[in-house]
Amino acid sequence: MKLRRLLTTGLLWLVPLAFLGLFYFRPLAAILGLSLGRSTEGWAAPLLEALTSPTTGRVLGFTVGQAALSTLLTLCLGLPGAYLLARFQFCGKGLLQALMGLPFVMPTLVVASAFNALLGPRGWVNLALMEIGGFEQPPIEFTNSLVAILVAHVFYNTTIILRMVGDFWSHLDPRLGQAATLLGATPWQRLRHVTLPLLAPAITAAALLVFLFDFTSFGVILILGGPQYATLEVEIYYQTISLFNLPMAAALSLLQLACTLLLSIVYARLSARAARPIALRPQSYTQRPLTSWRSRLLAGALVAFLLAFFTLPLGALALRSFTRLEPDRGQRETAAGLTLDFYEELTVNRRNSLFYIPPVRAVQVSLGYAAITMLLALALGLPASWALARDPDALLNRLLDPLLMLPLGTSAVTLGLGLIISLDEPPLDLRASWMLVPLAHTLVAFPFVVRSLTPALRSIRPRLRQAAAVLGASPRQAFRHIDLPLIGRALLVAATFAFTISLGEFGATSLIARPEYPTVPVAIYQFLSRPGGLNYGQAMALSTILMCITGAGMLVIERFRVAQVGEF
Amino acid sequence: MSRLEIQDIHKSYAGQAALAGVSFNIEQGQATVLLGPSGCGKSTLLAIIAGLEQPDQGQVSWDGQPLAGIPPHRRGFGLMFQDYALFPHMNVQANIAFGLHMQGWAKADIPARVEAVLDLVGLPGLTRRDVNTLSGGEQQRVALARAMAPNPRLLMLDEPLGSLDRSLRERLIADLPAILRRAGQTVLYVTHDQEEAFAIADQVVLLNAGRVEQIGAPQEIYCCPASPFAARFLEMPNLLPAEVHHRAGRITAQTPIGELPLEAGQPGPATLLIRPDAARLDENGPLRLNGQIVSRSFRGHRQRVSVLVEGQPLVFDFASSAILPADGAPITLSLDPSQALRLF
Repeated sequence: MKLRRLLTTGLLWLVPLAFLGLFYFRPLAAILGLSLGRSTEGWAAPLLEALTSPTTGRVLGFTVGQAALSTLLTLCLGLPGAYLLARFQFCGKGLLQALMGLPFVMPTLVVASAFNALLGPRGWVNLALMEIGGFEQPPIEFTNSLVAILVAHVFYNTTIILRMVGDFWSHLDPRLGQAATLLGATPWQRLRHVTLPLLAPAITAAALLVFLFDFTSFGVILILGGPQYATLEVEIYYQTISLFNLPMAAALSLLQLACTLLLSIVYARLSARAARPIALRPQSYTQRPLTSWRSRLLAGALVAFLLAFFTLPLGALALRSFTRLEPDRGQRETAAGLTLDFYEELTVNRRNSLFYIPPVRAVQVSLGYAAITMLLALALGLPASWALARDPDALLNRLLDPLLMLPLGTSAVTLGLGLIISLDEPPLDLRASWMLVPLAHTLVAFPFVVRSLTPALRSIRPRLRQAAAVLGASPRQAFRHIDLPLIGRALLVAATFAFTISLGEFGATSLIARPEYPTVPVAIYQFLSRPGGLNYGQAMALSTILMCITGAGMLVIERFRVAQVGEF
Repeated sequence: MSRLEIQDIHKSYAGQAALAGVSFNIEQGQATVLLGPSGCGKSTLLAIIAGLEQPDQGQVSWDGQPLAGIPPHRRGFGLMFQDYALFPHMNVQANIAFGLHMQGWAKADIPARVEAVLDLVGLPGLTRRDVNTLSGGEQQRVALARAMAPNPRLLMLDEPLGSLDRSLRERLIADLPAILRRAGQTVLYVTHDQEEAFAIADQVVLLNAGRVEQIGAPQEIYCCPASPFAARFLEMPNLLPAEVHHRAGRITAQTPIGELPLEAGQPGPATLLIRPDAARLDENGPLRLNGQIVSRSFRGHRQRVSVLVEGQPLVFDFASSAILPADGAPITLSLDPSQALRLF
């Protein structure tokens, strides 16, 4: 019996592991081997040399520092919000809950463009200040600053705190706090000795996840931070692309991998603890309306700020993509006003180039890649999550679970390069193939798919299947009417996750995308790095298109998401 | 021939016996209640009858046909789970209709049947509701309606009132027999609550540690508990070690509170039960006990008094209107030996 269970678990893992082996571990090993193995002194010497160089120390210091600072700021905004969402009913709550999913699915390039449209040198705030205050130059220097990095990170990750801590908090029995009060605890003591210790696993797990995302941040730093700021991931990109210092890039990749592996192991431990129910109650029982004027005012201010924070940059982006503020090519007069020019421009071959690919083609390519990624990620994620859900304590599962998170922490640039150099022999000569892109995207989407499917599969209580059987359902009917609809929602959510992740992936794509098949983020990056109002406008237009597609994806996720504590 | 025959069922989990040779029968249209403390194997037995678990030994038969090898969905039995197990992704209508679909009812007949069972459980017009928004009592009734809807040959209910508050339970205990009789159901009902069992049962099967302790009509079980366990479980804790003697045509029991006359009994060591409900405040009865009131507890329709008799703590029940001496004061009780005493 035991052997059979083990065998089934092993069989379920077979395909996902084969995929990971072929398209993750082998390319990784290949690029690391190539980078470090060329020295005559063996692989350890270049590794050690790279790791002890001042660059490594500086980059690691900055990476950890900005991640810690970002996480702290995210907690400062997220925890009061989580408290408000967890314990109170107020008007605007539904709107806030619907909108807070938005940042999470937004591609980094879109977020970068959005903050650029709001606070950048050509952004609304600077334009307004120049108009009103009569400044010659944009007075606010937002882009290319640490502040921009931090704000974008907080924008991205506040939702994680709101979700993970808020969900857990909203089910926490308020009678525990009441008991403490009756035993003589002041509100502060109640918070310190009862509420915070109970929330601690959820808060730490959420903070760790935020830290992990900030730690591996790439697009935000590259575009909003400018050249003087480099995290490990960005430095790997520079070392690979600009300096072609492969040993250094490999060493930094290994360093990043080690750090993220450590973090994800700690995260898995903690989230398992947060998922353990301690006197959980339904939300209807734990929530009450705001009564005093002071609390209403405070809550109103916080809700207004969060709503503005989540929507203003994206709104600015959309508006900017329809607004002309600069003279047309060859004309001196500014025809300021609403325009569709930037969208039309996406289809026009200005230079009459022979090999011209209209930028709008990138939208089709991206959608195609996303569809393939979705199918691949589901095909791999379903058996893996099935294995994890049916026997969470099996040794095989406990070993493989943290392994799933690895692709998330791996440098996308390294991985992209690895894919190119390792898949260069028939039958897998994919060097020049478009297939490389969806393969890389699948690796990134895979952990998200597994993380959203596993709890849903686990939540199907055997009781329900028994109830169906007693009511006359054969095992096949029970699967069709009970299991499948319950998994269906999770499948839809997982599929949408995979789809939006593929749409937004930039790090690996920037390296492996074929010029004739550009993705939207790659096209946006190209437009953003070129001068001129037209290029800027087209970047805004493409970003807006991408924002709308991923925003629609977010609606699907919100509609069908089953709230789970400790998973994302 | 009985409808359902349970023969010598054994089942153990990890070497721990849950059922150790349980046998009883259920007749058509009868409500049988499986009564016993938690952990006595009641739910396991239901799972075995439903076909969700396999017995290690023994068999279950219906109309003389053994059911071994028939999977749960072909047995035509209904089971209402202790935690209801309502399908969270379906509304009330879909939950109740599920069994009807599975039995291949014509689509056109289903809505009427759903309405009918909802009426029966006292929740008319609830069809569109999301099951996750129902209160505990409503969930209980929907689960009952779902189990009853396909007209199962046997309806099994596992602690159906277990998690409800007292007033709701009282109301449902009053409603349930009517609901079940109206449907003409053969019912197997599991509970740990004797009041519930007595209110609902035609036949009570008292279960203890995986064994049948006593089978009988509620009145029979209450008047004549068959064992010290049965007596204790029915809140009759006055059990005294006794030595029965036959002397000069009289039968007596020698107990720590003195010699008591008996109407019948085999000589030798035994356990004697003094029924708490059989004492009167009367100084001239045939058998008198003198003691001292230690404490009392008021239970609404009666009061239970602890009395120290010859150093033995005994409890007796009186009507709540009865006027009793103060705590610590002496009291004289009279017993009718034929009613009050029972020997095991």
